[in-house]
Amino acid sequence: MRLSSIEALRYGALEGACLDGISDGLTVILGPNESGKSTLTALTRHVLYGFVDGRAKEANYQPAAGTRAARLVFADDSGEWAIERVEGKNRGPFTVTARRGVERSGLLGELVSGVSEQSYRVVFGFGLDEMAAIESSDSAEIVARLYAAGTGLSVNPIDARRTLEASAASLWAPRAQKPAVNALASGIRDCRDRLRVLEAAAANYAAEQVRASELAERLVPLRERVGELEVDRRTLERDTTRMSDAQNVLAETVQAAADITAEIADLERSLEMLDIDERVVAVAPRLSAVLEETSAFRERIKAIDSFEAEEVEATRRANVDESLPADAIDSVANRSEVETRRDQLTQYRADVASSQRAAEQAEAHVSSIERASADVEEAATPAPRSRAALALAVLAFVTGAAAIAAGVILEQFVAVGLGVFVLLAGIIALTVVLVRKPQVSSEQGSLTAEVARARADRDTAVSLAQGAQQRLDSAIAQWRAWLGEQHLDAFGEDPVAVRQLLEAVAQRQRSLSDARRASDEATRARDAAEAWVVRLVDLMRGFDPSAGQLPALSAGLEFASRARVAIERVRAAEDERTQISRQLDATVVSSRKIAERLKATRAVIAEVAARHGLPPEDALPELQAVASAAGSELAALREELERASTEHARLRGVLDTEGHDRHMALARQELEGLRAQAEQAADRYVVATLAVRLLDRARERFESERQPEVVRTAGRVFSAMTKGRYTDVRVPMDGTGVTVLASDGTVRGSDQLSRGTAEQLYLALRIGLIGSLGATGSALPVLMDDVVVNFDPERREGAVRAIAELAAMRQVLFFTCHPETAAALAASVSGAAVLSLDRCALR
Amino acid sequence: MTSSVRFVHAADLHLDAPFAGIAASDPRIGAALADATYEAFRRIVDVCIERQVAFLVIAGDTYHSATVSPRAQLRFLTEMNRLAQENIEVFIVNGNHDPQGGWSAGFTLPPNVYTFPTDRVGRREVVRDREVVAAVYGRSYARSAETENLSLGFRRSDTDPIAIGVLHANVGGNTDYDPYAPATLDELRVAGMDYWALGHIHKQEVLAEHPWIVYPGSPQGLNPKETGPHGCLVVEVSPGGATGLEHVETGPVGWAHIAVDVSEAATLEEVRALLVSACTEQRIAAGRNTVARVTLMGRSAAHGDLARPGIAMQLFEDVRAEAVLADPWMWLDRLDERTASVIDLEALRGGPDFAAELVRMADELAHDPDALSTLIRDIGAPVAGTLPGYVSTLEPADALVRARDAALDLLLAEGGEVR
Repeated sequence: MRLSSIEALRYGALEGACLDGISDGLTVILGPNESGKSTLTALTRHVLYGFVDGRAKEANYQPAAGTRAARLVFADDSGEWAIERVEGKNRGPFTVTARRGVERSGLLGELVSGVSEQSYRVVFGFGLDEMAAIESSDSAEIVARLYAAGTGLSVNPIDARRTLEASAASLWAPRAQKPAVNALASGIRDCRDRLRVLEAAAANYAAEQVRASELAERLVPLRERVGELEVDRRTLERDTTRMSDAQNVLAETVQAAADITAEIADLERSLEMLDIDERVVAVAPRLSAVLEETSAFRERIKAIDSFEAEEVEATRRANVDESLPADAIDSVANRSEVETRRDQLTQYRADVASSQRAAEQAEAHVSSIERASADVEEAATPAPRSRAALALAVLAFVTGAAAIAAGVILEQFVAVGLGVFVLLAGIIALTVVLVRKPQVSSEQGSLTAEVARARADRDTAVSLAQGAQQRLDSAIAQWRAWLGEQHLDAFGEDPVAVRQLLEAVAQRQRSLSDARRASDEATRARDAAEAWVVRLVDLMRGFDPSAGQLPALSAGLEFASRARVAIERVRAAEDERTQISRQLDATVVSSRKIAERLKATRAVIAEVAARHGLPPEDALPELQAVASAAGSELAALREELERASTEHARLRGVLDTEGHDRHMALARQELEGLRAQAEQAADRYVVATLAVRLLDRARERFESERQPEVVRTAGRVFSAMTKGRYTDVRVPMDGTGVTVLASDGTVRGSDQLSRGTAEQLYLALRIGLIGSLGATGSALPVLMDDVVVNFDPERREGAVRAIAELAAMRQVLFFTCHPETAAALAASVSGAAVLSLDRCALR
Repeated sequence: MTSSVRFVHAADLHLDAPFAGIAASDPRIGAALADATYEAFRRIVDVCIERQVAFLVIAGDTYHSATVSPRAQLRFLTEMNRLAQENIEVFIVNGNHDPQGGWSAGFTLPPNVYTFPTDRVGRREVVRDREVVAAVYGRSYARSAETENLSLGFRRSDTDPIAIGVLHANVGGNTDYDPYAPATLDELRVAGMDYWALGHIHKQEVLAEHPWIVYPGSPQGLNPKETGPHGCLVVEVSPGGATGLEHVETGPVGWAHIAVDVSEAATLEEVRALLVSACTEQRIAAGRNTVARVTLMGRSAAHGDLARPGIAMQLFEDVRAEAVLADPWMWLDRLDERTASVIDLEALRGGPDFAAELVRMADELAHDPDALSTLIRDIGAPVAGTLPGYVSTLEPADALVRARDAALDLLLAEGGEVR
């Protein structure tokens, strides 16, 4: 791939200009000043990397009118492609168009791959202005990277060093805060401060422990003394209470003893005054039993009256119906016979009615059958219409037969067909007329037989009805005869009369029975009442003189009342006596208890007084005084104990070291952890820094002993240009501080060289660098803008040779306004193209 | 006829010691660690009671600090009272961590506890059924840095049926420990003891068998270096020497280093699977709560991902969150991400480019350990200004490899562009 033409559509002063005829190797473009050499150099870079705007330090080549647009044409054996860039966003959009061969939209990317714009500007497209820039701080970077490429590394050692330095700086830096070691060291300090506080607190432990122990020792006797006093005080309080209670009890008991003695005397007097009738007492249980039946006696008296009234009423009812003769009533004792005869008559009357209904039904049936028979007979007699039908049927039969015969004879088959039809009609009519008759005859016969049977049944029914009537008549006759025998003719054979008779007889019998039963009951009640009065009076005779004779029943209740009063009076007196006796017993018991309590209370007083060495009479005030003194002493001691216990508890809280020491142990562990992390980070810092040192040492040696090919080439080119005046070039890896080795062995910095010699050095370095790039940017042309103008002829000759050598590897476009330089270059390379640029002469 | 006597030999309880170098951000783990030394001691007392031993010997460093916390003293007192109830005597010498005269909270220990003096070798008789069955000799530290050879004052009495010496000392010059009360095996042998109950070295060790000269190790590993079993010794001694020695583990929390080679892992998922597998295997094998440090190592295709800021730590914390919920739990304390790119160092070393120069430079430094140590010390020295007391504990060679690989990772990273 090579650049074949440069086209300025609108670019700076150029419009519609084209530089073509460019050689694959060296192309010398000769043109006077302002002919567009620098413009074309800038155009080439701008098409490759984009236009610059007004903010850039370099000229932006705006056209007088319109926007910038330019084109580079690249070609190889397979085709030709135009890369055109027009002004616009993102430094101007570009297009790649195939003028020949297949489309290659990615061509621009392929061309500039691996070469930044800055690299291109310093190394590929440069003029005198850029010559010294190779050693500037910006360009040193580029040189260093190119240099790195020459060392066989993907990454420049400077970059590696910078990365390692950054890594080390992130781990530790003097007087910084963020790096890991610094941050952890800060954490360690904080942790130590906390530990110091905890340890200081622990240091107070011993003193507090001693105080706690002393307090604990003091607490023991204090608690014991308080305990003793507690016991004493409780004893005194108990004894004081007991003494006080005992004295109260003593006073109460003495009074109670006097009261109870008087009460006993009163009760005994009451007992003596009680008057009880012993005669009543003797019969009281039996009398009470009899009196319990007083209600029954009262009921019996009522029942006697009731039964007697009932008897009178029943007797009156029995004598009311005088229509019944007494003998008749007696003779109808057996009422069932009357009922049997009555039932027989009723049955016979029902039979007569039933048989008469049967005879009537039989007669009706006979009439019905006879009407049916008459209808059938009428049907069996032929009607005139039937005869006419028969005649028509015969006529049709004959006519049909005749038509068939005539048709056959005359061979008139239509007539035969009609004949057959008429004949069949005649046959059907005859069949209908003749078949109906036998059916009517059969039905008529059946009805005749049924009429005979019905008449026989009617006759039988009539006969049975007559028999039933005869039996009824006979029974009535017998009933009438019996009534006559019983003198009851007045009742006739009427069933209603018979029923009334029967009811009258039954009613009278019931009334008589009731009168007898009431009489019996009244007698039984009277007997029982009289017996009860006898028992009562017998018991009352011992104490009630009025009960000497048996009284009437009506006086029974009065006696009972008197007896009840006597019993109640006796019982009340007995109850009172029992109550007074019980009260007396209880009072005696209480009296005994009071005496015992009196004795015990006096003993208690004596015991308590003796325990405290006091006379029993005045013990209580003395005892109360002693108890009060003991309480005061106890309160004071308790206060002291409380104070000591509180202080001791506080100290124990302070001395609860488990929690405190755990914090301390954890803080120590944390401190160890922080220290471990910090040391680990510090070790990593050491390793990173060691790597930096290693890189530095290797670089130092490499720069002094093993200059890369790029530098060696530059040295050789520079030596050739200077005709051996200088023998070698030294370039440090960071690209700064280039030195040269003079033939006399002296080493000089670039700043110690003349301008021309320095430019020769820079040219040599570029040639060396470009030569070492290999495939990187291989299709990019190298554009040099009159870079040998300051060279003396001898060194220009050397430079020309070097450029010719470069042109053997890369496409070189050399712009110059010096014909002799152009001629020398053209002469140095076989096939070099020489193009002339006149002012405004670009095509 | 004196029969054998059985006792428990413990040392270096370091009650209330914080776990050095552990950053347990989980409160549950932090609390368990803070309580671990106490729990280990409680288990020792359990052993004494269960085995019905005649006495317990504590050969120094009962407490971690001369300024003993009240909590530690209270807990110690509680355990001593338990032994008193069982009529088990306790013989104690003070060590460099808890020299006599240190601060005391004023608790009075029960009469079954005897602490040997500092100014001479003390002798206590163990009496059973009115018969002396053994004599216990011991001497305490008066100060932390005890440089005197305390073993020289030990001499067995001719009447002792069994003689036991108790001393907190560095016997044989173990360079991993402070050279306090230095003594030699021969010096101990001439004392005529049947058993030397030593303390100071935290790893269980039998220095000699005639007589038995033994370190029981600490009952609980106190820092990441103290891996392996930790506990006390149940000792059976007959006239003429020990006849039985049983180590009983008491440490509730174990330590482990888990190195996971992720050379075969190509993705973070595969790295995680390897890490989880290794942690689970270790946790099950330990059978108790464990604090583990993890090293991811090997040249792995996953190194690029692991080297991205925060990625390895996220993965580690994810696995840690799982492990801490297991039973027994495992606390993954620290991740050492030591993986490297898949680089053919040999091929690189012979090359002409800068990376080769870097590798060769590292090789040269590796061959000059003094220069390397000085370089590392110089780099770390300013950090001590921020982090007082910091002295890098990095292995110089190890640090060099890590530094070299870090630089190579950057230099050989893909995707560089000429700008």
